[in-house]
Amino acid sequence: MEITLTHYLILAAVMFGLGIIGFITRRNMVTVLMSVELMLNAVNINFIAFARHFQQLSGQVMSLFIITIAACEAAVGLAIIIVLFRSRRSINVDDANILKY
Amino acid sequence: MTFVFYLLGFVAIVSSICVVSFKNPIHSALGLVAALFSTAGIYILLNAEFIAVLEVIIYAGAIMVLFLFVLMCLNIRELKMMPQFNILRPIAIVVGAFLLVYIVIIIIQSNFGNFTGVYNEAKIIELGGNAKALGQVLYSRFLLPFEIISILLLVAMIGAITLMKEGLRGK
Repeated sequence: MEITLTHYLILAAVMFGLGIIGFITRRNMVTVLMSVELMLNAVNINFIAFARHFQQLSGQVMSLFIITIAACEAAVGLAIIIVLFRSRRSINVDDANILKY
Repeated sequence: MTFVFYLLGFVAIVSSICVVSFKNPIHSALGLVAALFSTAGIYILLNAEFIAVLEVIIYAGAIMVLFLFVLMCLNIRELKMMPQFNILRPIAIVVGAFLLVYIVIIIIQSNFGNFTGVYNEAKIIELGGNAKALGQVLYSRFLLPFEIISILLLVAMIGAITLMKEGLRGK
């Protein structure tokens, strides 16, 4: 059986779904960020699979941009986590609730 | 080819499950590294060698080292003590599974057409490889987004440094 576009899309969808589950269920902020990275990665697979299918390079350029965005997001997110850990001594997402009140 | 795809996909999905379900955050980080490596293999299967190399260097190299560094800075004993999963876990798994099934049904039913662009494999070989062709596209058609993304990187760097400084001043 030949590997078609659908196979790659389903693989990416499974990884994206696992990322969503991790994003909702985890309480540790660092693992929440890791789940976001997983979802961005799944989107990257989609872009490159479509780039191959349509014989264009735009999809690969877009995935390059997504990798850059992921790097920015990881840097800023981890900085926020460290600042929060300094002030609250915890990286539980349930403890970061000061904006609620 | 088929076997390689199924092997890489299996490793990617299993290590993604590890990321989501392991209790120790360091084990999840190592699972994410495995997932990223197998994704890089899938990119190579899709004729995107340059992106595969970038994935290994930036994601598995830089970003994951940053994650592990932050986990090292935080107190690992407290991290192990804290509850790792939400009370919403069963509901979240059901919702995620429904969403997944929905997406897969849409993918199977849709017809993507067969529009063909200019960059087929012969053209890319003629241009001198994937990296060279990608560079030409990046510096001609996507020049403005490329510059904007460099400014975004600068802003993220300044933001991270400023956040850390504010935290120190508060002490």
